[in-house]
Amino acid sequence: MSSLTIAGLSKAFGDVRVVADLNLQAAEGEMLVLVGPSGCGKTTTLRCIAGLESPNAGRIVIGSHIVTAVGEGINVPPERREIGMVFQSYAVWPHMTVFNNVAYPLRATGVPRKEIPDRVMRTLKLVQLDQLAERYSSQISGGQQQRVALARSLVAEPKLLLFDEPLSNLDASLRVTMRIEIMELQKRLGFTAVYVTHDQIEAMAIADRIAVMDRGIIRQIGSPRDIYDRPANVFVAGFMGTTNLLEGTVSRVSGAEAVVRSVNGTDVRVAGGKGAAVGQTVHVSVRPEAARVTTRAPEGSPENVWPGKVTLSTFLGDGIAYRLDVGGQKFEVQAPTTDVFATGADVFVAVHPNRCILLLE
Amino acid sequence: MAEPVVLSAARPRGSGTTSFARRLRASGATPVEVITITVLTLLVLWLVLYPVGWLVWGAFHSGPPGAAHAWTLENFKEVFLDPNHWVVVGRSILVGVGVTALATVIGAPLAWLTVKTDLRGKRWVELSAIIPFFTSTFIGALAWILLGNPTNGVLKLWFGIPINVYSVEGIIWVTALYMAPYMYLFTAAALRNMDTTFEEASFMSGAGLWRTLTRVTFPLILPALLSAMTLVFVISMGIFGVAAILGFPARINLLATDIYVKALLIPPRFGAATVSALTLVVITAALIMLQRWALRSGSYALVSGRGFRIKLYALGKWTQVAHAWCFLYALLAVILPAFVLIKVSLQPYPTPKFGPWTLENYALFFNNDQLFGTLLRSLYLSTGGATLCVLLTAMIAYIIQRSHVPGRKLLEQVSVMPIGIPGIVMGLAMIWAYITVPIWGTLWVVIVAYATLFMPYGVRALGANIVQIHPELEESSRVHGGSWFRTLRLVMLPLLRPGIYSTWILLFIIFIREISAAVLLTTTNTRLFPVLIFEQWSAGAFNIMCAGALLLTVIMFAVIMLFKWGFKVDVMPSYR
Repeated sequence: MSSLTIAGLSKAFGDVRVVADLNLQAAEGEMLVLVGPSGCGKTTTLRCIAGLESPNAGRIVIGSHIVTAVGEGINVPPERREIGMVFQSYAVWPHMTVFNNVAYPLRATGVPRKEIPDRVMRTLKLVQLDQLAERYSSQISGGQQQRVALARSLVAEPKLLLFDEPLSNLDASLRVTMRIEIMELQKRLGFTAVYVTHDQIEAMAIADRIAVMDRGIIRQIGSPRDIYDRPANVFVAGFMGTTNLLEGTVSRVSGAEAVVRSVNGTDVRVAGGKGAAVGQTVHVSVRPEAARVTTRAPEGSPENVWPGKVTLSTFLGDGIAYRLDVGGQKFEVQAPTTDVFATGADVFVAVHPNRCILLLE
Repeated sequence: MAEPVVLSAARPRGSGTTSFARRLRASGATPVEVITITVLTLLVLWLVLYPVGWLVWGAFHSGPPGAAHAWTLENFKEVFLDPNHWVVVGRSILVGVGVTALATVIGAPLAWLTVKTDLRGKRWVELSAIIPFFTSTFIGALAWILLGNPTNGVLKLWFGIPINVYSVEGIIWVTALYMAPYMYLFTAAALRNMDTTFEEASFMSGAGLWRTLTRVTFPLILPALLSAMTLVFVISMGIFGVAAILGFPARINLLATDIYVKALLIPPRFGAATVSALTLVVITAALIMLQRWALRSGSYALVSGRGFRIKLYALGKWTQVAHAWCFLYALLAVILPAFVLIKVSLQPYPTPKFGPWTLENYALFFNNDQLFGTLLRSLYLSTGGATLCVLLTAMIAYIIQRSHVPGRKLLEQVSVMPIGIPGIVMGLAMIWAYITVPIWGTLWVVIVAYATLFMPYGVRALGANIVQIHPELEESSRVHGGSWFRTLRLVMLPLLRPGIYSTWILLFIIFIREISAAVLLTTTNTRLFPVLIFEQWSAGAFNIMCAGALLLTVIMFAVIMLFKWGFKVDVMPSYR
């Protein structure tokens, strides 16, 4: 059973279509991440789920509760959707103490007065803020405000939690800490969550499933591994991590392998190649860490081997990023620190056909 | 997937679904929201359009308000064929243009000096710009007849400066002196909000101070400057107090005083007064539209959102000039006027000498039941009126800034319309609209008139405050179970409280000193304090007049200080 079902969701602001006929489901206890460049419609989708925007078409069902059904004139106001939400700006009310911020959802939904202190303190303990209950937001740090926002969204034990770029205002190290804390809380409490971010690394780290959005539609949905290793199209391959995109034409398809003649004249052998037709224009995606650089062409290897020249090398600590010139095209390789090549050196790039991904669109 | 079963808030589909209904549904507004907004929009439409409608109706009918009428074009003939009318129109425009230019020349440099330079004593400059803002042109004019009248003015008797404020130049001079704070405040706000890096980029590109000022700073604040200039023009076109006090003795009429004279003639020429009033509104409305058109492309985003420090220019050898400029303004707008008002108010009869001294003029206001009653009435009106107006404008501003309900644009446009309606025109329109209604002759008519006239000030001030409150603060209440009303009560109102207080003070002060709308609107039973001061002037009782003007000033400052110390609310932005 799905905990969240979105069907045919569309939203336009004036003439601008921000979300176009979007379908999405989240299973119970799942962490679903919406990721995409700014303006892709991910935040609008989240706000439609929250009831903060009214879509032009579509249905949204939380659990068994129809909260939006445009055709039937149903649009449940946010306060009756029984959800929790963490905002980008934290939105911790500055005129209330931490305690009162967290108690707010309980009071608003008519939880018996006697239960409130206990439940608030229990939730504050969960985010390690029980010592700061009487502080105001101006007296606590950004990370602590983030925890207050998290506690407030959790305290009423909602069916669904929404996160709108919750970590984008934190500094890098705190971002990782909070990300892990959110993951741990989610596994422990088992809530369903929809998490919006523009940061693909954050998305991969936190998600059970990722939906990559672009211009109002979902370009691919799947596990982080799926999305990274088997991108469905050029957009997803380029957006999730860095990659080398080689454009070319399919010259041969035989059983388990296809050969693509790239625009710079080299042949690229690709494992799989299902659905490709000879003569079709395609892209091949090669991740920088899938290729290796050698000084001599390996013989009898099943790999694709192309000659190239080192144009730039960047020491990264855990590796060296090489920029190569392969037949006039830029090619990035991430090599271990033991593989040292001088700038200007003539080298060979080797990639196994298994690590070459054929992208038909 | 299990088929969802729970249906909540199912609304029946209307058979004739219009696009408006669809937009309404798409806005996601709750019924409470829709009803509130509808009622409020109708109320504002009625407040503004009802009297204006009557004014237009009155222009086309014969006879005074409340009497039998026949359709006629006689009023227009009478006014438009009178060459003197066009002289008055021309003179009024001249005054409007002159005041706007002079106020800009005085106010804008003061703003630049206090915001952008290392000038010392900025608090004093600010204070000397804010005091005239509150005391207003009316009290300023009262002081200036004592300073600048051609026979026994202080400037002539003591300093031998032969000036005559009973002239068009005098009217422009005094009005500009007291409108300069508008230019100061708007310019200072624009300069303070402007990201300094715009100017730094100009310097880094090799431009000097002058080139930077004229090519970068000035164009960037131009939209703000134009808005302020339009406001100053519109206010000074319709100004009554100065025009009457400085114009009547020299038989110089402006449109505002012309309307007053026509309406109070015996027999009154209400039709002619109404046509004059329409002429005035057409001019002010045209100017506002011109300004909207000029700024149609929208103002620049001056605020980058990043925190920035304002780089202060070193004045160097120009420090003396800057200080002289600031001191001269303080001297002319505050120090000299305050000095004569205090001196004359403490003397039993007009005299250039120091002494004899008396407190009789002040005692009169407290011993005479009629005068004291007027003082109390003004206090009631301003307290109650400001409260009602804040409530009304807070709701309007909230809807304009936050609601997505279709139709809020109409509310926004109508609620700022009164900016173009001069007080005296509103007074006349209210007579047409309400003379046959039972509330006529009560303070309620005055409250309704003031609330309508000054609605734009409340809407703007509160709107600026609401914009500062992040929408997510409200949204997070909604998402976590708070209804629209609960969100308003527990999140919005507490956060808006400082803005509500400062708007209340602003409206209280505007209400208590207002004279233009009051002169025609108030009757013996509803006479207000500024009108009383005006009558003392007419009667030539200058010493009592001065005491009254000072009492009014003291009340205004007492309220400001009460809020500053009691509630920690500042009416004006200040330098930290």
